[in-house]
Amino acid sequence: MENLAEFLRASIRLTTPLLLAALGGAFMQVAGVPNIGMEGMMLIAALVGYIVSFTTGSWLMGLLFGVLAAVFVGLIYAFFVLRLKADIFAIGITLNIFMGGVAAYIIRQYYDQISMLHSPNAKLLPTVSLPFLAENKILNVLFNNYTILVPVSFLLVLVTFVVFYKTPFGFWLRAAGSNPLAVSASGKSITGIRFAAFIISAALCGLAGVHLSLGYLGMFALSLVAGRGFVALAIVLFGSGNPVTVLIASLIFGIADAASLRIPTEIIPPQFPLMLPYIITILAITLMSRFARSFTSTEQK
Amino acid sequence: MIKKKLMVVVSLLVLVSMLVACAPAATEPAVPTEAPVAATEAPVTAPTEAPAAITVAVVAGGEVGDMGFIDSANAGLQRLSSELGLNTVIVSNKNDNNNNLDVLLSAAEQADLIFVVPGYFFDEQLKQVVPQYPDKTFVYVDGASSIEGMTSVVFKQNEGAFLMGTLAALLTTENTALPQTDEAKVIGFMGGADMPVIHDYQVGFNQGAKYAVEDIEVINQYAGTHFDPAKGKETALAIYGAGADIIFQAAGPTGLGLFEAAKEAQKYAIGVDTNQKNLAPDWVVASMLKNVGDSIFLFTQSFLAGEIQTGAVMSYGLKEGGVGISYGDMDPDLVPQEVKDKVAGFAQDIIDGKVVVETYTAQ
Repeated sequence: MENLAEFLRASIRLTTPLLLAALGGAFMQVAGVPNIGMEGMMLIAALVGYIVSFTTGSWLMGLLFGVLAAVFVGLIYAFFVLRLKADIFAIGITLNIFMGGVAAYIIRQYYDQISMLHSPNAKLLPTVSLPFLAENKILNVLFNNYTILVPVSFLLVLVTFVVFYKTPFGFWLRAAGSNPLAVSASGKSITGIRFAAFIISAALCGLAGVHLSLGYLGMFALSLVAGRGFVALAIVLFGSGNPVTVLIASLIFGIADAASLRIPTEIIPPQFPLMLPYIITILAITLMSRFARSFTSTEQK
Repeated sequence: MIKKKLMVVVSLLVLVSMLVACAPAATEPAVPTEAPVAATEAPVTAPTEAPAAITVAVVAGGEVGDMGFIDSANAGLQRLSSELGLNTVIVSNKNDNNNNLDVLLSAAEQADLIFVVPGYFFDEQLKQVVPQYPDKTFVYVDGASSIEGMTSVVFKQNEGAFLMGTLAALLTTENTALPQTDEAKVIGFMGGADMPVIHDYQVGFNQGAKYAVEDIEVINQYAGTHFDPAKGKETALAIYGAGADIIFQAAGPTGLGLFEAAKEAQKYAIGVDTNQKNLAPDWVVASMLKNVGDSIFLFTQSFLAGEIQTGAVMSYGLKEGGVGISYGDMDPDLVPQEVKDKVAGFAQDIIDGKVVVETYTAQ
């Protein structure tokens, strides 16, 4: 039982960075502009957050500046896509590569390091400990003592849901994606709505990046993000931006990942568990998209 | 149409200007414009021994100051220069693979004996360069190369890993156990990408652990990638969670995650390749070393004595000092002297040939 709880806890830890980034991706996805630059936004936020944390000695400043750095990248992205009408995929991919270069440059030029930053002065994100959960061993393992962005990420699912489906802003956001002509006809600025989506999306990717360096690993490495931006993009595309589907897809990936790290290699060759997350994701996504299709078709009736 | 083209031009300009804006304002060497020719960082001394007036070069897949392979290679070069009076030169690809061909050619022009560190960064370029210089000796460091005319230096990582296995096993067992270990005799091995060289570490580690403590249990787990420290941390936490008290990693950058996991789980870790004690001083008990510099020195000595034929594969293990153990030069020193003595004894057993350490390929 306790092992199961530990396993689920690992799943939640592996889910969080994907969930934060994917929620960010969802904001742009529903507005009709897929966020291809999540990888770069996360990386730069992870780096800036870590550097600010160990130079100022404050995790809050680290978090703030990490998110601001990602938002800055989001601004550049928005400028090229919305103002200069450049191709969103081309700019997104360019930004990812460019940010990789910027990060490598900063740590080599200013910190004299090759591929990682590690400072004992870095203040990491605090953990949330609830004493009433500590009394029960299983509940304690499952729900207690996470770094602050873990519970926040799950709360943000709810917030995103409310914003998307219960506020006028969410209405315009979704309209900008599904029927931009109607939005223009009603006198609203598509560019304005999408610009807001870029900024919110970048901020959430920033949270994901800061979580990786300051919340989860306690160091910065150039390979820190390790493709999570693209996994998040896949999650967003499968869920077509719906926050609930995004949550489910993120959890599936997190659980499969955690499972792959726990299957003993003596019984099964190590190659097989490593395939597991991808196989499960493909299977789950296929099933989910079928569900979604039957759901929308009944809705249209 | 014209407007669209203009937009493309403008966006290109902005991108370029962003690149320029990021250039350092007032730092000494303008990195991008500098031609990738010899960065003569090792002192060049005049040859003193007349017959041995050769120049030795290290082609570095990285830069001096990496606290790893390149620094070690550089130290080896300095020994060659001061002890044997050879001309030495080190050329760096400055962490950019686009420079690989140029630095190789530059080294081939200047030197007679060229060490490529690590060889596997330069596979493609070596195929081109080696046939062009048949009278030069190219040495592939840390791997056996199949390229025609290439000599290789391999490290017996299985012997180093064997020692780490004995150390970990002793440190989790009753009399010599560290404070944060439990009753169960369980230790762990964490691999990165699933590839033969990592399995070589695993085989040695498992054999060593069982050699020191017969009924030890070893949990072997792979993170599946060499480049994801977060996943490394998660893998390490899973191994600790399954009961291991000490984990040895052979996982490249992924392995960095082990040290964060060790701090979080309050359990012990063993580093690899270089001294990694500084990453978690309270929890790293030791590191397995690959002594690139010593191997370069030994190889050059044999080369000067005419003992090395082109295409040979020289392997350096414990006996030759190619691999070793470091307990770190920082406090706290976690390993009791008693255990260190025992581990030194096991090392002697390997050197004397009393124990033959298995390798992965031999299975």
